[in-house]
Amino acid sequence: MSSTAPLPLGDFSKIPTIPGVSPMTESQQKESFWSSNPIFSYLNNVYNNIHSHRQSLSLTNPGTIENLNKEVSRDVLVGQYFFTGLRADLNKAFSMNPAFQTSHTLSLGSANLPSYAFSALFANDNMFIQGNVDNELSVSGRLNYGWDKNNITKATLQFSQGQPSMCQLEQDYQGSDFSLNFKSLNPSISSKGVFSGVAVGSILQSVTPQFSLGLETIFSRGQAGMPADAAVSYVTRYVAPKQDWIFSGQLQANGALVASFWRKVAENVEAGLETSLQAGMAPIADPVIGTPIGIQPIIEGATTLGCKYEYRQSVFRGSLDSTGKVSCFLERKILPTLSVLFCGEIDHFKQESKLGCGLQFETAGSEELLMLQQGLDPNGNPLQAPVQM
Amino acid sequence: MAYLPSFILSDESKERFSKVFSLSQTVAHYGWLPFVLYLGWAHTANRPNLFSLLSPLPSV
Repeated sequence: MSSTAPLPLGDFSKIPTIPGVSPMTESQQKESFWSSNPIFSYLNNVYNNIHSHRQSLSLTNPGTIENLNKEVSRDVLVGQYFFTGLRADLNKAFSMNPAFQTSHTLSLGSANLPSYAFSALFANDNMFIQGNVDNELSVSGRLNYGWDKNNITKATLQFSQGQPSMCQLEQDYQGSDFSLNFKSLNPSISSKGVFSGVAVGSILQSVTPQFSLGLETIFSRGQAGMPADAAVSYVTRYVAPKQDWIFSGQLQANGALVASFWRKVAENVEAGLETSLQAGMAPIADPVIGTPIGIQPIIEGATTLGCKYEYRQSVFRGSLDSTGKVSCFLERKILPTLSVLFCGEIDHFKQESKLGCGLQFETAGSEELLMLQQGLDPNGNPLQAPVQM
Repeated sequence: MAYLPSFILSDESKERFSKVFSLSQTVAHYGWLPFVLYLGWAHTANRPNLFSLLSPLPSV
């Protein structure tokens, strides 16, 4: 027993223990107090078990609610692309990566397109910014910023002369097997702490690798003094294992039921079907006097059937709906820098028709892109594979 | 019981807030597109001049 060695008071690792019995387990010794105390380590364990079980289900991200029936309503059906009158688009690309492009749109005889619009867009790996101005000085802008590969913040702005401006802020989170989205339109908080504007929150969760369920809640208040409004919609989506057909359904809070079905028929042919049922109220008129004597519930339905043919140099979309409308949209690239648009619609029940014709020019703002558009690389040699013919 | 707001603003500061708000709106209205064009211009290798940025004709 030597008197020179100090007692190891502050060093707990020197405390003699019975072999095999330790005051803390191996993992507890390594971790900090917050993860090693019994309550939290139990909770961590439960969380890890659930997490590993979720991993074992091999679920994938279901996509966003915004894109729930994108394949049908945005890709296949004509609706989004339809315009009337004459239009010309002059797109000028300055750079491909990062993408920077300006565009001038001239339009004649259209009900909803402005007669002149200028837009610019810039996009790099984590940012997308776009602005648009028309001849009445209405400006609309859009900014998407990706913080990492799961989190995207989006802002949409709209200013027009003599009208209240609009601003929408949105946050998107895409988890491993679910998507969350929060957005608010014209949010403001009055000095009394009352929220006014529109707030929307939605979640879409994969239940099996193919099937996902979701729900969307909307809270809105027009003005600070008015009573608020809240509503819940339910959505579902099923993607076939071979990804050759997709079903999606929505039960909206206003009583509308929308179902859509998309199918890949062949390599370059897609077909889509969209049905909506809307429950509502209609006034009953007195058969003799013609004054309203009451209201009755009514159900209205509409179905649209569409198809899309995609060829090497042209895209054809056609659709037929239950209100008697037949419409088509044809886009054809006749030169690498020039494409022609044609669209037409005939309403057989109302005996009306609409027609639209357009030209789309692609011009280059830099030498390199000019060569690329003509199928040459920067040194003037032909490219191996034709670029977007 | 009367509800007291968590922050009380005088009329002058309320007015100042609404002035700042409408000013920022005007700035966003007229500044958004020039900002997009500037961002694109700054990231493009050959730095196109203003005329070629705004004209629809090919500028090579």
